[in-house]
Amino acid sequence: MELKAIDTGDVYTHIALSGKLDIMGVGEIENKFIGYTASRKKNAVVDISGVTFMGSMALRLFLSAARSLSLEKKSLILLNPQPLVKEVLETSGIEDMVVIEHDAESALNKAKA
Amino acid sequence: MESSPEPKRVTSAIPKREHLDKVFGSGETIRTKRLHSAVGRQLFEYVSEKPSDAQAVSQGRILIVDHDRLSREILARNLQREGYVVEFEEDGAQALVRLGEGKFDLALWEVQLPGLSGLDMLKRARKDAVLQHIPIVLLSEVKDVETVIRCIEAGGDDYLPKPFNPALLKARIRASMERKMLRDQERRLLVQIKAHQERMSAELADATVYLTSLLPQPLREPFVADWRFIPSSELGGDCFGYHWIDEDHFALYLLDVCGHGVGAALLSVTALNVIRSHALNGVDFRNPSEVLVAANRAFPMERQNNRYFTLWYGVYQRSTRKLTYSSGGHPPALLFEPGGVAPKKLAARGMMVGGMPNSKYTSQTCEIPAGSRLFLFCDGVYEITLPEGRTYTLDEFAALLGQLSADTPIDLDAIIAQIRQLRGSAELEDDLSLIAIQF
Repeated sequence: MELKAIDTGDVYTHIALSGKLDIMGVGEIENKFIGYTASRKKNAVVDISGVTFMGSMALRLFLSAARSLSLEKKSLILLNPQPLVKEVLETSGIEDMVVIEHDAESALNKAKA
Repeated sequence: MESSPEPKRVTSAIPKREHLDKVFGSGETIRTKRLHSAVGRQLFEYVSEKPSDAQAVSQGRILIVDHDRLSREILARNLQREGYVVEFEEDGAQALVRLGEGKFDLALWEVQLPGLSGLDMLKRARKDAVLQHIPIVLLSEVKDVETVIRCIEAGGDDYLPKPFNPALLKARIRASMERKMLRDQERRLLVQIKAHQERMSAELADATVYLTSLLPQPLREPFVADWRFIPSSELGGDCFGYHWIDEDHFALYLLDVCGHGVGAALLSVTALNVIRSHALNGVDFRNPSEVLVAANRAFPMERQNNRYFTLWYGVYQRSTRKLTYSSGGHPPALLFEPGGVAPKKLAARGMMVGGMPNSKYTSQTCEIPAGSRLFLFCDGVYEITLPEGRTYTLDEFAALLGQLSADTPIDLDAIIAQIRQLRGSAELEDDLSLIAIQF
């Protein structure tokens, strides 16, 4: 599991995840992910186009970050999920807490807003 | 190491010089020189000298196995001066018996012992449950490398050639003793760890029995209901059930706590008990969305160690043949109607239970024609990694269920066997729960 920081400027956070977000994968990036999202208290765009699997612990991670950000009136924006990952996100109902985007420009514009 | 009363007092007749040379070497150490410069009474004083008070505390118990009386007595004196408790044995077989009693920390063994050579002794000792843990340092006049190699290969801890150097003897005994202490400590820790593991396993087994006792019995009337549950670890995060709310309403439900193991199981069992005993105040358990709303209120993740669960809850009304259901982040149940080509996905929008306060849940309703088959399951049934690396899908799992013959009873074991075959392993990545109802 890999977490790559793309833009950690003053306005928003842009990171990318790739790999399998199962229990082990979540364990590998959890602290770093929270550090880049919930702890920074800025809108966060998370490119998940490289995520091939998303388990329940990954949903918990996203949900926890989204809840923390919502307290600061900020959003967690998940960018470009693969079809199976998108299905998991939709089934979970997490769309009420996170924004799912399929266009990078649109996602970044939302993050800058 | 065992504590001991005051070390034995060793005295000896005055040895001949060639004998001393044999033991210590010719004039190679200060101790040897002192012995050589001494005669009669001086030597007697040397061998009968008591250890100092500081050295009187036992450093460990050593068995010297040597047929040469003088050699072992002088060895003993050296070791006693270092605070070791020393005992002797001339006979090899008897020495093994004494070592087997487990009261010695180390043995010094003359390789050329009559009757039982050092090599033969080592071969026997290293196969013995008690003796294999006792360091054995070999003593011999033989200086050739081959003997050393054979002794070490046979399990000897160290080798000291005669004539030996007292300083070297002291250092090597101490090193062997320290290794023994570490080994003893390691063994004690292993015993503790094993005992701890056994206790934990027993407790987990007990918890598994309890969890399984909560799961429902198979039904034969008025419809057939059965299930399989295979946790991926000792305790799973899945729980499910079905029961009659009243004569007309039959509830069926499956919940899946994120993660697995004890933490997930505790929440899982708690939530299950709440549902099966209708322990949500003011809730009509015939109304699925009402149950979901109340469960979401009762189990907020911030008060459940940051854990949420998914829940599919349905109520079948026998008189109308209608199934009403609601879901909190759970995969859809699959309904196969008689003659139908593809299953109906019984999905209802709603967030994972406990994920967010005031989440909204809706109820959906469908007809259940006679002969229909309903499958309710957790994502662990189909989210499996196939040998080629990709993840199996819900649609593929639905297709697999669709291939089952409608004319024969549902064979849940065969379904699970197929899933394992697809995965290429009997081991599962996640908990597996599967309920099948034949209406």
